[in-house]
Amino acid sequence: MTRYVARRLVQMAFLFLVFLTATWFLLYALPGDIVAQKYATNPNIPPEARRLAMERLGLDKPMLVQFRDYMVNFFTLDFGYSFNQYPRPVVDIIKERLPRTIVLFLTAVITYYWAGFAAGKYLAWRRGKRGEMAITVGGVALYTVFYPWFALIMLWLFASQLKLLPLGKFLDPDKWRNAPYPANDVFLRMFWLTLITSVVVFGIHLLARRIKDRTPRRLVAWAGTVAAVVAFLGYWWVGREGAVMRPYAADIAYHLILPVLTLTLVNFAGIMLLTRTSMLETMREDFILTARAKGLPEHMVRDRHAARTALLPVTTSLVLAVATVIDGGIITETVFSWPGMGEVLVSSVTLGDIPLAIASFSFIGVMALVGHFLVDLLYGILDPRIRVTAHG
Amino acid sequence: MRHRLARWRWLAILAVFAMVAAACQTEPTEPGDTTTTTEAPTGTEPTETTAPPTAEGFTYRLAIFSDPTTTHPWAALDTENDVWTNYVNPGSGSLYGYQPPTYTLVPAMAADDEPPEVVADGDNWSVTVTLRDDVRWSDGTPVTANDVVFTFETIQKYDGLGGNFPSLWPLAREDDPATADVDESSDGVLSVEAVDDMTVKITFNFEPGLAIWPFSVGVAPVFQEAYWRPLVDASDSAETFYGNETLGYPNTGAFVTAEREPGAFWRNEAVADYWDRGAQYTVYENGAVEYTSASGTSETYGEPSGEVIAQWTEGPYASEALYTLYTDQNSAVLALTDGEVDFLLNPLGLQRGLQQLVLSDPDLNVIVNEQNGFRYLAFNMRKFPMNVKEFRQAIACRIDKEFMADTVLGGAAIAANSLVPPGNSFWHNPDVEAICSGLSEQERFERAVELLKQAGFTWTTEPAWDPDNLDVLPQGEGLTGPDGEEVPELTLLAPGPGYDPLRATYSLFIEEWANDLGIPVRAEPTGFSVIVDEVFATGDAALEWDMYILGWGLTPFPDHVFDFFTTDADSAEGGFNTPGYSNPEFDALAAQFKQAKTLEEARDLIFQGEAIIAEDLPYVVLFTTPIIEAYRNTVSYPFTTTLDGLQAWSGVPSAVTSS
Amino acid sequence: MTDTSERTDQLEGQTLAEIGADESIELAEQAQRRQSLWAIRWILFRRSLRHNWALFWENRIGRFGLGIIAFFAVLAVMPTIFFATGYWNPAIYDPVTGLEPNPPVQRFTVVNEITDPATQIDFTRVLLDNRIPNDVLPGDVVEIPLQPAPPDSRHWLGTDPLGRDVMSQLMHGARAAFFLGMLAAVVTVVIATIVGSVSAYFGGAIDAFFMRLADLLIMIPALAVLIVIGAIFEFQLWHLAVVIGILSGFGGTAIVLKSQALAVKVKPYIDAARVAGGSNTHIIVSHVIPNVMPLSFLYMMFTVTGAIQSEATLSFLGLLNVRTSWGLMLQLANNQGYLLQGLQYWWLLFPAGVAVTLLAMAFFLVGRAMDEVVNPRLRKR
Repeated sequence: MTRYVARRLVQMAFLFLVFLTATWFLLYALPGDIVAQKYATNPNIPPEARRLAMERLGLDKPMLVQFRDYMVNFFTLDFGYSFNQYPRPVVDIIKERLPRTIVLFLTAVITYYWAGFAAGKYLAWRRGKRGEMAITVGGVALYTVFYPWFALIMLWLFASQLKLLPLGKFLDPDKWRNAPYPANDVFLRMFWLTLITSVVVFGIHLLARRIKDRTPRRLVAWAGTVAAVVAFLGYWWVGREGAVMRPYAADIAYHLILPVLTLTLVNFAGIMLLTRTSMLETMREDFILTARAKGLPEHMVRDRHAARTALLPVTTSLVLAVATVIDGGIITETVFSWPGMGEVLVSSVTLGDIPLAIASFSFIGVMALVGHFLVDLLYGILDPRIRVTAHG
Repeated sequence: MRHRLARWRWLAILAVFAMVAAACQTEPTEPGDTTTTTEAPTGTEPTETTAPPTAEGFTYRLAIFSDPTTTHPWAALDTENDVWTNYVNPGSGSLYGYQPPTYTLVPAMAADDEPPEVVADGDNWSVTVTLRDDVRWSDGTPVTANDVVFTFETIQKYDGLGGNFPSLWPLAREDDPATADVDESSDGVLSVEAVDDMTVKITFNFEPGLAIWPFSVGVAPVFQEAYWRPLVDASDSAETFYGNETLGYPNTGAFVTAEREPGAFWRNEAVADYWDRGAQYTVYENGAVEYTSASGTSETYGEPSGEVIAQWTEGPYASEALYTLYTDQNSAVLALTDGEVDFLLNPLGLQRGLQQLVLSDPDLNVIVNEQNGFRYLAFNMRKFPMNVKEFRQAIACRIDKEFMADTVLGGAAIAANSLVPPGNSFWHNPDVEAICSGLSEQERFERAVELLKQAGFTWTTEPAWDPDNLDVLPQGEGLTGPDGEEVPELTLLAPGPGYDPLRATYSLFIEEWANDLGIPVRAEPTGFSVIVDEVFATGDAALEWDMYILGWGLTPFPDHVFDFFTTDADSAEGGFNTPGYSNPEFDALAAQFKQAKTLEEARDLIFQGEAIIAEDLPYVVLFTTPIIEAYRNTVSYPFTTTLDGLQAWSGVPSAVTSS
Repeated sequence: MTDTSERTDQLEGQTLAEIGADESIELAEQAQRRQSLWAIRWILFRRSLRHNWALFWENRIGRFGLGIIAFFAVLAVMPTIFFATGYWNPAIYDPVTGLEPNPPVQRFTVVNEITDPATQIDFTRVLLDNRIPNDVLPGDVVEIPLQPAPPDSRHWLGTDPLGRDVMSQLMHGARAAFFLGMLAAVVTVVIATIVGSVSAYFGGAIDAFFMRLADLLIMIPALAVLIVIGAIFEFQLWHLAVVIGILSGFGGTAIVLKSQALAVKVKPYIDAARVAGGSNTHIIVSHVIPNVMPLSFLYMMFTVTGAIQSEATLSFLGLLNVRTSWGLMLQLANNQGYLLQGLQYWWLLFPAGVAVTLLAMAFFLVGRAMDEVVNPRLRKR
């Protein structure tokens, strides 16, 4: 086990280095350095100023020297300044954008996983019956819909025509005028509190599973969940800071609805189909037949036995959502005026802001590698069949 | 059991939703909120007797499409210079300024109606400017000569700064003897001294023309010493200096920055005791301005003639300007039609297709203005056959700009011939005519063939006009130059249809027209930055490209007419003369222009220069686009006709009224 | 400890190759002396194709998807026929340089203050519109050519903001989509098959490298990578197809095919071939790859879906230099502000958007249906 982890870590480190180098050279090859691009439109700027700007950004040095400097700085955790917003540190920009992206996409991912899992369960159970075709085709149509187009139509329909939801943005400037907190503080508070509550609820359920009797087990699980939720809400209503922050958090939550709804509609079908496949396979397993043979009611077999096992591959696919999230972010954030990491990626590349682009890409690269590693570990721990083969 | 539990679960979820919903409706508690959004009716008609407006006004709501990156006005002029940051930053103040809507140069901090002339001063040249005594910073303190001195000294301290500073406050530099290979010397401002509290003397190390004084240094920013001195003293480098958060910095405008929520909005508050509040402006057709200051003294800039095109009493009538970020144009337009904002700030204006949508909304008003800019076709004159004048003329003759603008582009573009658009009325030369203008397609074709023949070009198959098909049949083939050199395949670089469909389509038509003549042109739609990279390449790389289509956005003072085409500005040496045009006669005019002392003299030179370019055609000016803007009828503006539209004045926050 | 490959293996379950392999043993015995290995393989292939086709045809969802693909295929060949028969004049119907010379006109009364936007036009706007004579006054009636124009008998789906036929663009767009999707799919399958077979067969460092690379590629957002590459190289359609093929070939598809190849690797006939002295290359080429192939066709379908959507999105962001595509049609409509006006300009809003969605969906559905054919555990009980 330790040896396996160590080997994986070394592999990952090597691959990251390759990735970083490749990214750097790719971005370096971008046509039109940022100085030329910014100054080419202003003939009043003398060539001298252009030269000075190149010098200040370090673009006048030979390529390999620039590369060496970058790498040395990178591994001393100095990611440099943004070229476009010089002298703002790259880390600053990422820190500003990240909380918004995390809150939006975490909410969206949880929602569409839940929706997809529920729909997939239903679909597997109704195998070959009426409705299956409609749900599958409808779900897949949404899954393959041309997303920018769909998002604009959603915005037009819900915000402009029906006037149910706000027109993009993550807050209402009128409500936030002279707000005591910057939006990012509220975003982070929402994120951590929700995370802590979720972890507590999850922990309670894990603990409850150890109780043998059914009634006390349910009681503990529900009481614990309710207590956690009450504590969560209590913070916002009674807590000293929470009460002040509540209207602001609520405003953000209100603005979350439309992008989350759109992302859910577009993404749930992927999870639905995965769940269906996984369920169909699980349902052929012996223990399901046994459960049926015992005469347990159908919904019990479906929800308690089949679904739990089928959940496994679905859960681990969660980590793959990182890529979907960032791809979706590029469009979602633009259409819904929610400037986050997706926008940073596109604009830094199109503007030739190399340090910002590399930092964002390597950030995603690290997330990708670590995420995948964790999935493999998690999968090994959760699925006993694999643990056996791995040790065997 | 199960059933009951399930219902209970639903109740819990419903309760959570209810609480969230309740929270959504709860108004935020704002202890420090003093502003109100109900508008007090204010006089919109500018009359002599209007009482100075009060600060208790309305919220002027504007949409922006990109996040302003800094609250620091110095940084906004330097590295973080982008249009959005400059929309929301009120700037600081300057000696002279441009008068909306005509771009007339009028005194701002300076007292003299006309910018004083530069005089020889020992080995150098200098200009002495007297300051007005009624101009106040937003904190109420008067503007003094020391502020100007401080501004210049700060720029000196940080070695000239970057971005726009070198073009506003050019620094005089000496050649550094330590580095023999590079010549660091440059022309610029040598020193700025305070003669007394209200008089400042600016010394140049060369004899500056109008482009430098007053059109660079005269409109360059001046910052308040009292506010900025401590920050400058504490910062050794420009980087640390720019790192300061400077919301609410004093300026001489009607608004100060008040609040910024990155990624969401920006808010400016009106200055309660704005020094110019209640001043009266009357602007005439020819650009002359009558000005009555708040204290009642009257001035006239220029000789008023023609109609009064704008007349207003300076506000601000709005108590705050709220800029909301919409990252997608579509949602910003929806925000406008739904009443979330009053005006969209966008350098490109509204998309053409939205015009009808906006027109059909009774609550919206549409204004259309000309843009100060043009899109053009450039030839690489360093190479055969683009170095043959008749060759360039033949292609230019074949391009039917009116057909392109009105028919193909469906009115989305306006055919343009001049390097200075008509909207810049003082500098526009109405006599510049496009080659072959007014001719029919057949006549154009025949004239183009004639031009090529004149220069000694020959074909293996000569193109001919087929009157039956109303088309060129056969097309020309095997075009050979006067020296027997065959015309190679030529590439026409143009922005791709994704970046600008108008220029992409234009390039395809030029390709077709040129091919008719037997000129093997191939249009290559490509990325904007790729074209910039290629055509501004220095050294031998300047020989790589053949033709390209790009565009320029222009400043009111049209020195670009010379900057784009003088020999010493060759792009192969890092300048802006991409065609590599070189004409001693033209260079001589450019040198005269640099020394011109009066606007009339400068204009005459511009007219002469333009005539040469229209004949020699290093550029073929193709078209310009109208800038379409829309505003809600909740606001009204003192004027709506102005070059580049209302966005050029950042939406005129100081004079916009609520109606 | 496990690896992604095992996981995917379990997801996919047993596959066709296994069935094929079992069958091959008995068949091989019958035909051993008379026919070469490739001939047997051909017979097997035809037989399994027939069998699998029957299975596929039972699947309503698959039939539905195939129907849509057929529809777009017909659409894609139409312009060739129209141009060849002279039904369409290229000067008018060319998707890029075509131009309707006589667009329908709409009559407007010039007014100072608009009260009815359907029949009136603002005087200031008239002055700035060069298409209208300069001497009009308020009260006059002007005729403005419509561009974009709504559908009529000559232009079945109207014209776009530059006066070009939308139907023609839609048909040419279908052609571009098929070309892009197919090329991307072929590149994917070739790469993934080779990578999957090689890393399964050799294991060790080669395997580790390719699998970690795949891990990375799966999770790196493809759109972001395409944006970077698109900014560096001038993207033509086939460039994009190759890049998508490479990203997907070295990414997820390689993992799936590797797990399939692992299952093949432990088969007795591989050992037999090795004992008989077959070289590594020989074993991979003639035993591993043919058995992995069928599964790879399944993944071709998903690649096509991804490629069509990537192209549309990149075009929509204005990052692609193609002359016609569905994404570009939407981009132009959006760029010129015709997209979000409710349903007024429906012929600019719907055709391209629906086409992207439908064709991407069709390939996805066919892929799903093929999955059920290949993966017996998903079949009907």
